[in-house]
Amino acid sequence: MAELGVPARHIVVVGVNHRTAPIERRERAAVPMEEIPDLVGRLRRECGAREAAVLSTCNRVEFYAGLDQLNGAVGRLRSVLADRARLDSRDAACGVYAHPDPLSVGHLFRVASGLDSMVIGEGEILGQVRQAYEAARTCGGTGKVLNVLFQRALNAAKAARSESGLACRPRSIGAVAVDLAGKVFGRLQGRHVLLIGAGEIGTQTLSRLASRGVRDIHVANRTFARAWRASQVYNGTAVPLDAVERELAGTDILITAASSPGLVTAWQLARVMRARRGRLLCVIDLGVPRNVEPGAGALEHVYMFNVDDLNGFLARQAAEHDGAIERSQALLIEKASRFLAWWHAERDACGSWSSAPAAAR
Amino acid sequence: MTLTAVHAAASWLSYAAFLCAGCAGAGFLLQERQLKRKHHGAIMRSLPSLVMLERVTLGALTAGLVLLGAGIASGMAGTKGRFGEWWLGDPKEVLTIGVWVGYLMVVAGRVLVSMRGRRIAVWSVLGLGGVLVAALGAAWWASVHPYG
Repeated sequence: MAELGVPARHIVVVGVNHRTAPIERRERAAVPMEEIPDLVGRLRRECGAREAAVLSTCNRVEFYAGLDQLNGAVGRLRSVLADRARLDSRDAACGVYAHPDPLSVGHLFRVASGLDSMVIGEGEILGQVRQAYEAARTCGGTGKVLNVLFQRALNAAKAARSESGLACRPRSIGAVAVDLAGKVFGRLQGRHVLLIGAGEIGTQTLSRLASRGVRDIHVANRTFARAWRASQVYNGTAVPLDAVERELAGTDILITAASSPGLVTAWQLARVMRARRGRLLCVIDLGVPRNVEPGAGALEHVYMFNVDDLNGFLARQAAEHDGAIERSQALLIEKASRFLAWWHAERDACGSWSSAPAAAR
Repeated sequence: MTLTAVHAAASWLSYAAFLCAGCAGAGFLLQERQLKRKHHGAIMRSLPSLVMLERVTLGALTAGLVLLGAGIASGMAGTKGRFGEWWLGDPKEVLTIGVWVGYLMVVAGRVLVSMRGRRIAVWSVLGLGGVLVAALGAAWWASVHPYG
């Protein structure tokens, strides 16, 4: 266990990530969960790290270390990592980076929040950082400084994700369509879906809906065989194109992605809606030209979105996401500075009598 | 005394339920407007789904109806005990019965003619006006009801 009371004087991160090393190298460097205690022990024994933690995900392998002295320790950390990935750590192009503090501190805050991820703002990394911290803490690898560093980084990342809207990242048209259906129906489990037009974009959207648990998928297509094939993927039913109006009576979500304009007329839909007695219908018209007559969107209990609407939402989300990145960066800088201030104060307080027995607080 | 307490508690709780229903109904109308006009903003994101808002509206309306029914019944029983009559013709009594019948029609509309979504939401908001007058309006007339 790290000595209580006297904080580590340096915080260093050494690692490779998706920008600096190709997947083959990252694979070799990757540390399975069960090896973490051994590796943490090794970093502390061999590299002179007082505190150590290992973060290993599919996009990065990083060693975080709290050191008393820098001389040679960073080089030893680098060579442990390079050995694992079978690289030459003296080769500048090997992709291993090493950041001293305060860069290392800022780096962890960025990583935890997803700002350093391949898909900016992805949320999985937050859990992975937490796991890495727990693993290092359980095996006694972390002490006062890394404990506080990781806890603050995790809290800051959580705040950055929720407060600045980083978590709502823009995605595909299909994902936006699913979001909108969710705004009408809430949980999509058990909803009935009718897809007209079993082309690529239609089936993609269908697969997103299927992953959200919709039930009773019906597919209609000009060529019946294609409808049948697409429906079989989701245990659905293929229906002939002329039976669409009958099918509509029991549908919650209608997706149209066919090449024929005016496939469903407003008049037809109005008739269907009367028979549905107020049951809500969400129409996602992915066809260009539009498959459903635009006037149908004005019908009561019909919520209709076409490709332009979806693209508009997507663009709005992207713009908001850009703003979110800036906002979360500012927030992370502020939180990281607060950590640095705490750490420097601790360090200075202990600096004058660091050789004396530690007064644990 | 206890009958009066039951009467007051049930009545006020029913007003709270109708307030919930009105808020959820207003939320429904707002969310529907966002969806129809394709305003994909913070309002749309923060409001729950239409189905959820409708469910809350209906649940609160039904709860309010039952509670107000209990309030009216206990009030009438109390009146009979104290004044020897079921009904005094107090303006608040008339208003409250009116509100109760109005809400009953909304819930019946849902059950009998499957009135849904927007219409339920509109009535739940409009009903709040009636509730407000029935709950606080007694002060405008001479009344056996001592408050507001």
